[in-house]
Amino acid sequence: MKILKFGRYLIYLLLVTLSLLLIVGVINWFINPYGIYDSPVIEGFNALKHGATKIRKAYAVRSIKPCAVCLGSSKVYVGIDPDHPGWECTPVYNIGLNGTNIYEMTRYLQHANAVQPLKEVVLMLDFENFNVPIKNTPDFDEDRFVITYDGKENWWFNIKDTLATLFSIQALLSSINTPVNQVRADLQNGMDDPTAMRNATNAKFGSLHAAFLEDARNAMKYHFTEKYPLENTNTNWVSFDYYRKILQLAYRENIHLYIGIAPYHVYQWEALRASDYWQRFELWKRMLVAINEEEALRAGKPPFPLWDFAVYNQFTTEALPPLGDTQTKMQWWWEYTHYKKELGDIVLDRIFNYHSSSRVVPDDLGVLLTSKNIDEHLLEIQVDRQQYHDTHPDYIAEIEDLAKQLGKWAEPR
Amino acid sequence: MLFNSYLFIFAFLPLVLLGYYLTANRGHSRFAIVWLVAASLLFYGWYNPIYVALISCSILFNYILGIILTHRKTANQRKLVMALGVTINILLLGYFKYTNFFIDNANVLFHSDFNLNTIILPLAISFFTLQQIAYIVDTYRCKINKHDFLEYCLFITFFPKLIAGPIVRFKEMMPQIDKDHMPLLTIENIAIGLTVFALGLFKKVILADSIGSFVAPVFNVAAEGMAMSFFNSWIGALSYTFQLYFDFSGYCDMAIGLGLMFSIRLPLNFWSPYKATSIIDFWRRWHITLSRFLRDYLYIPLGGNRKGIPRQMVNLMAVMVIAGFWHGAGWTFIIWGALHGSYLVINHCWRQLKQKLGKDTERTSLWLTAISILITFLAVVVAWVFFRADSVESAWSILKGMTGLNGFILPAEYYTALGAIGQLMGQIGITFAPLNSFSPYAGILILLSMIICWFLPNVQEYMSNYKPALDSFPGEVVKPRSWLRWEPSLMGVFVIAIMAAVAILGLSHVQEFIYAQF
Repeated sequence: MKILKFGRYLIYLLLVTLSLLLIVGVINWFINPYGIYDSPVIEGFNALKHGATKIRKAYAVRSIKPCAVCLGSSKVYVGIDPDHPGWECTPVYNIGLNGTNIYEMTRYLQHANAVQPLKEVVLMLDFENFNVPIKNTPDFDEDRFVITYDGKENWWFNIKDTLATLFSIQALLSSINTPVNQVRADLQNGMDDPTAMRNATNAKFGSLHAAFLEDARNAMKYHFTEKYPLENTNTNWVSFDYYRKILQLAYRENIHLYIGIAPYHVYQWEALRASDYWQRFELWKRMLVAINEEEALRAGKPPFPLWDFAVYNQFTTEALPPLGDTQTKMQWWWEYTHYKKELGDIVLDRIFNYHSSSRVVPDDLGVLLTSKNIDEHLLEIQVDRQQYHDTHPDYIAEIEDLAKQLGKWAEPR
Repeated sequence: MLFNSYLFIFAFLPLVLLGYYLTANRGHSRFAIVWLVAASLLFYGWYNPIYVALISCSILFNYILGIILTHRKTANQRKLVMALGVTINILLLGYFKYTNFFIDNANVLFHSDFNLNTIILPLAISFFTLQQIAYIVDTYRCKINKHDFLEYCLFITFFPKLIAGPIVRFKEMMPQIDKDHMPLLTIENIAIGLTVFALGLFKKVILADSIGSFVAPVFNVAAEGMAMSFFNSWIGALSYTFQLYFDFSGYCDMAIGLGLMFSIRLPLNFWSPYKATSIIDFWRRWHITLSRFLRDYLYIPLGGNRKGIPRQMVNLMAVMVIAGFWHGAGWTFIIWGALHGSYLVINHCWRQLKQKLGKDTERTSLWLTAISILITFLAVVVAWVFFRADSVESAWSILKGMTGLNGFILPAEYYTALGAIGQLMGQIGITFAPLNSFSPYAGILILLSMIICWFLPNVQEYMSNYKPALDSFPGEVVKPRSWLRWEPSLMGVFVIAIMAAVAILGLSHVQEFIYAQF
């Protein structure tokens, strides 16, 4: 083997290393697996993008420049359709984010509005978005938004995303995977491809019913360990402050904001109740109403419509297939957490007051909340719950058994 | 600043090399040493500038003490100054590292609720404290008689070894640095140093970080108090065993490579420790510069083996428990130390017994060596479980799982996937159940790590034609076969360039949060 002079070795070493890095960078730029560069789009090769939704959605907002967005957790990602005919303008983009919290939502909204002033926003809220956070999810990054939280221009060039999406093994693997896997992806409008959820089986747990129980168990475990605070005094994190920020932005910029409390399957409520969070869940709803009206008063405008879809009706109480049944699917739910687009469409019909010839919007779908009717409304839910309790003792028992197994179950107050 | 960061690799290092070249190689030796010290302090204070003040005070204090020690003549005075110096260094370390530990334990003991804000441990304090204690003691022992402030500053702060060692001796480093004749940069040293750095970076970023991803899930589950099954426990324990080795030895390789780029050779710190055939052997191969320090400044002053066998055993235990406590302020670290202490005691007794029975302790066979390596390795793995676990209970839970007392569980999906084998496994008592924290890749990586650690030459062997590091124990580097030795050839270029590129590509990740519960 020929031995090189050290100088030559060093130069070759640096050149080869840098060339390898450059080659990887060019491949990743060209295939563009996260869809954040203006590189060629070739149908059947790299048209469909996968994963890394938090990066992708921040950049997609910059290229699509939507005039309206729907904002929320993965429930929005899966269930709320930007192509619903009720939206007042196009393009509409779905900013549903996995495992998100209200702060992250605020930042994405500020970002979208700074890119293109928004006309219309549908904000779907979950109790968990306000309680879980404490910290943001690991894939969330401040540096990818065009403005800072305080509304200043974000001068910081987004070097982290650039390095990670061009010069990383992970990006290279995604690039390799992109042409091979041109089957499932997000839709162009940011919504999750429904076929993906359809293909996701719950074979792991034997049946859909068993999967519900497993999810409820995990959720309760989480409730018990995380303690579900609505604020964190150590970090000055007050979830409602971010909600307020969203309202202030919408009032100030004349955005048509529609607020919805997302539909929950009754199993989720029972899990909340069994881990002693029902009162806090009710308090949360009251706070949403109160703050909305407070900010409306301050802005001198009528309050934004705030719908509670977390009520007892045919959708939220849909029966589960029996344990061991691996075939039967549910009509309105993919699983424990996510409602299907079909239910999302009916929800949007109600929000937009849109009448579709193919769908009927039942009267008990949701209730428009104000400070005047909130007490009565929460009381009605209590009554409905009692009724449900009497007619479905086995369901309730299932959840309470789970809570007891976790060893911390307390008789709900 | 971290070695494994873009900032360090693409900005800090090239700039410091350039500055050093412009000073040292142009004959401005004093500027060169000042430049290196300044760069090292910048490196140290990058995330928290207040630390620079702390380390500066510590350096100044110890330097002055060194001067006093050389000028005092009476033995008692000198002893007093030495004792004072050592005590103050230990107190400083103790304050930052152990205050919270002692308060917590006192609270438990006296059922009190005394609270102090958590004291943040300054970076590298464990390392520079030891190095300065060694300096004070060596000066006291009249082994050091040259005191130059600038040189001393560089000796302590030299950035390649500042954060996590190797723990360098004064006598090893000082002959290489002289404020009037700083070593010159040479193409040869930069080429070799960069090669060793790239190998270390690869070990750290690719090997340690990949296998490390399997560690936390297992130890977290144990910390929640869940029962640990057999396979998961072993995956956790073995993954951590290799993560720690690749991480620390990769770091030391990077340090040695960086030192060499500045034409300064640092001592070897790892010598294929998992190839050790006994625990005594293990401690000659794992974190060598620490074992050396403990031997010279603790074990021997305690009497070593000169005061009879019972006393020697007590000394061994004491040294290892202290070593454990040095690694971290917690009972798990103390138990780790005590375990190694008892291993050493058993090992020494065994040797004595064999010698008394007239057996040749040197004679060995391939089988015997293999079995010795395996037993040593297992003993080390068991101890690492304590080292990593956040509490004694979770360590127990994992160890219990490793014995199989909690059953043998594989993920439910495997049952159908394995077909007939699955059924057979079911019959011999393996359960198939929903298991989230289990990954088959862990098994593959563990196997790969075993091959690397047991059958491949280590970095120093691979580089042995050019001796990038000083031997910590004389004569320890044995050259492997010539085709397993690195040369600056085209082959070398490609091997190292690919490893370097892959390691750099591993520095950043596209974060993905897959939890979609809400």
